[in-house]
Amino acid sequence: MALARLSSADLLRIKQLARLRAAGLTRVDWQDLLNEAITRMLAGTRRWPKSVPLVAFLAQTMRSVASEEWRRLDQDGEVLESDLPPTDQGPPVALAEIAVNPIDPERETLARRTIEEIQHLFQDDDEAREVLNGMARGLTPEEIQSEARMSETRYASAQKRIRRRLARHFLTAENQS
Amino acid sequence: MNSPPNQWKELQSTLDAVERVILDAEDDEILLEAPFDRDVAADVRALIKKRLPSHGVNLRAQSKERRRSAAPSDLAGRLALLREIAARRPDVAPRLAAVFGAKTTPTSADIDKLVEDFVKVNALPKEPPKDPSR
Repeated sequence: MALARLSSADLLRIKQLARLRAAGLTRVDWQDLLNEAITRMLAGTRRWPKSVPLVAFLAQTMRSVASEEWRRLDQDGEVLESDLPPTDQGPPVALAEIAVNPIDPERETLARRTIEEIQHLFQDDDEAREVLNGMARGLTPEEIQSEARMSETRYASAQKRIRRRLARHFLTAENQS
Repeated sequence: MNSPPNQWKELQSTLDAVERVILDAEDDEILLEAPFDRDVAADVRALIKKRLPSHGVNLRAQSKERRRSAAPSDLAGRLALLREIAARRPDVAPRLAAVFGAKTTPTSADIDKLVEDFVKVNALPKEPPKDPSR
């Protein structure tokens, strides 16, 4: 079974990915996400396409499990008009977007706290913060490089620092277990 | 139109991007960056190990149960099933011949024992046979 033959590097990768996906979630931890991903894989409720590496497949499955947990937060909370952010006298808020992707105050608070926690790790690294900001806005690596006037090498280096610092944060912060 | 700030979406975009970076990292980098004084992947290894054997047993048990439920409860139905198995599985035909070739007529207990034996070797179909009366 491929799961039993994972290398040490892949096991570490999986742990980093599970801890990453558990960031901000309060009712489940990284072990719950991984456990559920393995259960779905073994039970066949989530099929593993052979063209996808196992670690990437587990990452996708954990992402899906985590999304369900975030959605559960939505269902537990109720969105009030007063919870919506002000619109700055500009055009009205895109109501269609709110309907499709409602803003839940509890979810938003948890997400903001997690973003702040991540940003705090890079308070001494402007370039890494720029890259993170671009990632948060869903920009491609090329777009981030162009916007931040960053060379490909500097971008790769900042990306590496982000991974290392987050890995250290997620792997060594045993209080997150 | 302005969209409201959505911090959850921003967090998910960040996590997606960092996930890609972790997946693309070289094995050497991942290993070198791990604390050297303890096996930080031990809990992942243990979690996987714990899930694998129990899951295997459960799946086998479920499979056997499915096949057992495929066997008709009445004697005539069980005999028809055994005939069908004899035609489909030459490897179990000697076992059938031993029971049906004996001088005495097999009892319902003999038939039940045969069906149970065939459950063990997965000779029964996965699904119950269709009821011809329907």
